[in-house]
Amino acid sequence: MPDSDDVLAARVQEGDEAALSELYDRHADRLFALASSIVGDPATAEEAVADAFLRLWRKRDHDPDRGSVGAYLVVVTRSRALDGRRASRRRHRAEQDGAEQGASPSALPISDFGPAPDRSAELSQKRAVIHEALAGLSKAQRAAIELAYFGGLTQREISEKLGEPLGTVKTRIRDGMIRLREVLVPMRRET
Amino acid sequence: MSGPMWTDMAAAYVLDALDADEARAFEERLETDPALRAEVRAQREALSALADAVPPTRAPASLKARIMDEARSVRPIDSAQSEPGPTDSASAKPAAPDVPSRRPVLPWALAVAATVAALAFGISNRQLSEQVDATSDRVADLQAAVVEADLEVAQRDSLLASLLGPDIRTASLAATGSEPSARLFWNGTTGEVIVTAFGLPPAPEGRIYQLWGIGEGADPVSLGTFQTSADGTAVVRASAPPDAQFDVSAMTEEPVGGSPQPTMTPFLLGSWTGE
Repeated sequence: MPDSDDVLAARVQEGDEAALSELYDRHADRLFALASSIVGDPATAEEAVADAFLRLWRKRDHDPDRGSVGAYLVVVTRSRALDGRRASRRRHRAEQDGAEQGASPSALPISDFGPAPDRSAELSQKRAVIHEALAGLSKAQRAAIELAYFGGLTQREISEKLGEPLGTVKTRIRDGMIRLREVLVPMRRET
Repeated sequence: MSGPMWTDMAAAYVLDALDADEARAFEERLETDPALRAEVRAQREALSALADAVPPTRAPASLKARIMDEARSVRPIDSAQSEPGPTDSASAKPAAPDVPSRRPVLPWALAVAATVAALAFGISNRQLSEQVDATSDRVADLQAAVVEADLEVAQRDSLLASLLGPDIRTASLAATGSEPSARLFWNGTTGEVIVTAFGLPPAPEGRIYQLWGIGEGADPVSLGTFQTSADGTAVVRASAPPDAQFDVSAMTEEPVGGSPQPTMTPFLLGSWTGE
């Protein structure tokens, strides 16, 4: 029987390369998909995923009491991808300013998305449960959570963007996450 | 015991959606509140599962080799010296990367040179430290620019190879002949799909473009999501599933993260030709 993520994470803490390799095989595709969705640029998405695994390896700072290694990798990857997204926006703004001043046009961004077919029935089933959970949210709850999760916006920024009171946005995020958690946490325990 | 106010904030904390002041206060509370830590952990696990909602995307094969090579070349830092684990607060610079420098010698050389200069000119330790930090940051930026340029050249070579393959199908996606438009190239040997888009302004905040392949009588299959640059162009590399049979392709605008199926009528549509 293959080692659990927890066991692999403990082996990584001891400097076991094979454990890092196994964790990569289990999580890299979902992390890359997440990073690509946030940042849109595959090179930056790759950097985000590499940072997550190399941080786990180099810093050995995953604390199982704070969450699973899968959650750790998602937190780091998402954070790095959001950093890349913000940097890209700043670059685009600078390019626009440059274009207005007659600067040469910027290079075309070359992306490298490779959406793969579902590799296992289990993954499809898992995704179906998540989509069902998301479908159970109100449109407004879903919009607020997606803007925070994929867009990296704070509650205040979401409130300004949607033109809705801050209190309303807070309530939507709280209630939406409670609903998601009811479905998603038991699912993660099972897998 | 966690007050309801703190518990209510846990989801936003995990989403990095608290303001900087709120996040700081929450983290202080977290230090002394085990129940709140348990709440954060549960919320984090739920969000981790949410990552699986994204349409599946295969990580490039070269990525694993690169990570393992870097891992082999870097001895793990002793955990006693390491920073705290990744936090969820944007204000705390979550998960700041500490990837080993590809060329570690130069920053150190600069640091030594700066130290010598400081001794000679009587610069304070604090000033010196700030200068070394600034210089190291600049060197890191330059290194990143070199790596980026190398990567771009490699990507362009690879892109060209895909377009010149022997088994290419093409599709022109247009909206009644006017802008925006897109042209697709599908390499039947490798399964790669190269997408070029023109006259397509970047999708607004929270939205992204999604490309679909559609076979007769079948549901649309996502080929990936992408964003255009400020000048309305994009060159995107996607991959079609093996044995895919697409008659047409279409483009929609979807929430960031993509959708499992299109949520709007495509604004660009075109038939595949060739083969």
